[in-house]
Amino acid sequence: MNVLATTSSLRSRLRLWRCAEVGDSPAVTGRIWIRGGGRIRLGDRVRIDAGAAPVELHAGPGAEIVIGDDVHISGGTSVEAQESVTIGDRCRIEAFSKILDNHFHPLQGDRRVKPPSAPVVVGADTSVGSRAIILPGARLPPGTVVRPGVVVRGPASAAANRPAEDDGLSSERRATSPILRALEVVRGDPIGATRQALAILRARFLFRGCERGARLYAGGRVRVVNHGRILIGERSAFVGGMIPTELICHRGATLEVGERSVFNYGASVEAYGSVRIGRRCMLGSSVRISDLSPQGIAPVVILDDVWIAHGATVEPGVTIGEGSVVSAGSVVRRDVPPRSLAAGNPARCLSLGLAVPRAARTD
Amino acid sequence: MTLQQRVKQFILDNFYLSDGASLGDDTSLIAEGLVDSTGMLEVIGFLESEYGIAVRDDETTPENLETIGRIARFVERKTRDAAAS
Repeated sequence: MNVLATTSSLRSRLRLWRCAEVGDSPAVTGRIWIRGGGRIRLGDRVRIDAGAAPVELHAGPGAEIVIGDDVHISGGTSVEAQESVTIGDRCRIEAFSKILDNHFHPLQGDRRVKPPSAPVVVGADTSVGSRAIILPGARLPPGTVVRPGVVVRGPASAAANRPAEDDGLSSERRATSPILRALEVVRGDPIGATRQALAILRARFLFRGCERGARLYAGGRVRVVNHGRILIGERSAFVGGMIPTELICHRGATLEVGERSVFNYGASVEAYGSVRIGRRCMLGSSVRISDLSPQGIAPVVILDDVWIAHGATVEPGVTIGEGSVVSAGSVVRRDVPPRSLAAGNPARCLSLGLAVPRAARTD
Repeated sequence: MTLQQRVKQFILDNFYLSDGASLGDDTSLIAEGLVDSTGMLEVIGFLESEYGIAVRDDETTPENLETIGRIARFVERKTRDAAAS
């Protein structure tokens, strides 16, 4: 065997050292984030090209990610398993796509309680286009072509709509979820306490030019560009992850975030005039909000208790009502009434009462 | 075919139902897990194209759309209103 090939394979193996099993001749370029206490098994000749943006493989405690032979994964992609994600042989997963087996939050009620997982199976020879999202419970037959930006959901009866169940693991899992850890009060956990203290110090440094409340949390990189006025309410959290979160406020503009709001990695909020985010809001990974359109500046208002899921875009001039949910990958162009679910591109709205089975409702 | 039958046929054709006979006019499409949120958006799209009505965001409530019976009454009301105006 050629010496160069051997060293590059060795380098790739080093980058994959956290995986439980790695097959022959792996090829990894760039940064790979392997997280969680679960098992990750890679087949032979897996190629991960994270040269332009990192790739995340996250298997939570007791969960498993299985990736078949000759699979190719491009940069910016995130695979998250809380129970099981299986990717068949010879699949191609294009840039910035997301595959996950848990919605992480229920549509209604206490959004900190994680709903049950629904395993995802991506059949062999499937191609997943860039920015596509494969939701919990999805089972793609072999040879499926998922076009770029498409959202694939599981069947209606999958975990999506079921109320959260106590699976006996929830308290343990709750403690390991970065979002919830960010929100939890530390009790007798020195490593967690140190991490929390560091995150609070980091937030003080990052948001030093902002008007800010107490106990802000920054678990990872946040890019703050403040030429206007940024206000952040107390106990808001920036979870961190493979892509920095971004708050940009231009000259003369106001960017306001209410207390106890949570931002996942890669979320980007940019204000040219005014962007207001309410209390207890949750912005998923790679969510984008900006108030500048080709027609000019139009303020964006996100009211309290709104959850905007992974990869959604909120367009300028939009107001999202209290308690509403924007589903993953949606593009919101019109106002969303309170307690509604907005889905699709362009997004259509549905009363949450029609999206949640009665047993799971709180009203 | 009555309005109820057409809506029921659409649901039977488009969603996984183990037993079509159990789908009555008063069966909750949501609570029984027959139709999820995206499915409900498909049902609304079907009503709009089939009956030429426009469903406003604030009309997408359980009172109007939770069962086939309610959907039928809602569509009848909408088409009547459209004809009157």
